[in-house]
Amino acid sequence: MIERRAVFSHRWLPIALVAPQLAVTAVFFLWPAYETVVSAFYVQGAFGGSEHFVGLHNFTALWDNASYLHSFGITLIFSAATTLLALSVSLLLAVNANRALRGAKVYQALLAWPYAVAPAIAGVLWLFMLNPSVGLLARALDGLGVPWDFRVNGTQAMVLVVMASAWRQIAYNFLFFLAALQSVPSSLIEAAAIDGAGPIRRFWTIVFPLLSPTTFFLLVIDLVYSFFETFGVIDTVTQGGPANATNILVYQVFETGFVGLDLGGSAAQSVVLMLFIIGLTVLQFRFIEGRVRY
Amino acid sequence: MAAIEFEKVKKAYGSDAVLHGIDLAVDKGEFLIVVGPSGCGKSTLLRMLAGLEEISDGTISIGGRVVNKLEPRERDIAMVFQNYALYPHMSVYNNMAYGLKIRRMPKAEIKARIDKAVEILQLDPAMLQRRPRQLSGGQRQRVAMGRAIVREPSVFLFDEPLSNLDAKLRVQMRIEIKRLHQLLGITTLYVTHDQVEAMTLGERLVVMNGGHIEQVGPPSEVYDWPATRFVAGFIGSPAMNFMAGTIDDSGEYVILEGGERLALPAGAAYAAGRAVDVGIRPEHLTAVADGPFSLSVELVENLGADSLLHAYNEQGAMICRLPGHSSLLPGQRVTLDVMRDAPIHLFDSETQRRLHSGSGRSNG
Repeated sequence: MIERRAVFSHRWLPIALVAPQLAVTAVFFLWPAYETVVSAFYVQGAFGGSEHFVGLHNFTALWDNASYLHSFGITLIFSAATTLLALSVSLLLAVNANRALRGAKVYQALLAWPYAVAPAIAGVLWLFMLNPSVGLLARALDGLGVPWDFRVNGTQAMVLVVMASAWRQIAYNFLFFLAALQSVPSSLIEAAAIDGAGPIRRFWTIVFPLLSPTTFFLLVIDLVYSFFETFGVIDTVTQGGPANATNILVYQVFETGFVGLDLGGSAAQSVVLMLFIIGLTVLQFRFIEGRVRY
Repeated sequence: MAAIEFEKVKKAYGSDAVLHGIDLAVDKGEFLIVVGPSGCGKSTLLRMLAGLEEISDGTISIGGRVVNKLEPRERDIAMVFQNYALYPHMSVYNNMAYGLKIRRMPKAEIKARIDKAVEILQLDPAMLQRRPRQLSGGQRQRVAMGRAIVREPSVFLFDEPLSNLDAKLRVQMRIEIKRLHQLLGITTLYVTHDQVEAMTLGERLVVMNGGHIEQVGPPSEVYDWPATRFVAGFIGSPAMNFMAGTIDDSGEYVILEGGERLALPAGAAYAAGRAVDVGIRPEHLTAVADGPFSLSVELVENLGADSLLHAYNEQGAMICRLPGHSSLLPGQRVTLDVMRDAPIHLFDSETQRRLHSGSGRSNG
């Protein structure tokens, strides 16, 4: 066997090289996570200072919190819709980009751009386009006879935040799908063509199954994204409204903690969210591990 | 009626012509080998027949039906690819059943056909539930052939099917393919760059070069009477020795560059002073005490049954196949002569075409 590991002659060099990353992880991820878990077991005074240990009270209180349970339902709808939209549109775009002969590189580069846009900015962009009074798309909808006002219509608000959230993730998914498509051997598709399969059947019986490892990976990434990183979109576009119609968990956490000033309750919600997404990720990776790799 | 007919078939990618008008008829039930160096257009020809490449010009018909505009699935063909192209996410059984399921064949008949293919190919039935990646190269090749057989097509296409196998397996599979053809009698087009496959497998051989057909004929005929200098050099291993020469004034001898004089074969009138290429196969040369070719030994390859002598002089290198083991050493002088009654081949230096129709027996 050839030694594939990098070998350092000094002990401190590798430590120095990974130290910055470890420090960032510790300060910005581990420490806050630890603080969150601890505060989930306390009730804090609204203006700080006092703190009482209350055990699991913050968690049990969530069960009786109608707004929290509503938020849970909203989150499931929002995440499922965002993930599904992001995956299906990016797959469609990737399949077409893979077929394109001319201008393929330009097309691919342009489609990758949205990923460079922060979720909050993406939210603002969509907000402009669909603003009921000045938005171009809103006017177009109005012209088609669709009364558009996401500020009062909860369903429309949900559609808007789903589109804005999925839009950015489409770019990311697209790059992965395109790479996966390009690694499907052309002889397989030719063999299927000779076996009598038309283009649509070839896609669903040969290409799509071969993409499944990529699809599962993106499913995990997109779900985690829609649970956590979409805070910026919600905050800039709807602030959880109207009437909590887009109040997803990560926004509910923020509302409880920083608007409602119930830090313990907010921390408990964060912990539940964390456990939920950890569970989901473990489940998905176990599922992927169990699958045959090609 | 021919089973497959190519008429003035051309292929170009933009302004890049790959095939320059191929005319070829394949008889029903025939095993036809297409051989040539890489880039000669042989695979393109096969892929056009399969419907995987568009036909730039001319027509291709299968069973009397022009297929130019037909989809691959409408052409009633099956193809075996060089890399097998088995569907990695399906079991062996489903790989073979794929094309049949698409044709909505009843389950019982699919099973019957696969069982038959398994028997013909002597596959282990336990293998049917495995995935392709769990199989060895030879087994994958068999499954790929099985997938072609169950379809019961009117034409089999093979695109260098054995080039990914090791030498021993290649010999075995070569025999299997030949046996399969004798058993099923399905018209077969087989593309290869391998000498041995070309010589042993088919009933007829098509030699291609640079997008043209150089010669069509039974393998032994192509070997004994190569129509062009290219065919003479391409078919046969080690390759034929070539020497430049000129026909002398009498029209009975050829004077080689090094001044050697060889008697011309009968069967044609030779124009005096014509520049020719003289070809002699390595097995038609022999080491003698006194002969026209005087060379230095470069190296000797002992192959067991015979040995290959590589020697050179100012005019170039020559290879000679000597019987048994040779005790010649590098640097030694050796004298070679054309064997008595052995053919020499003459090609016009300009047109590269064969000058005489006979086998070209030299009269010493």
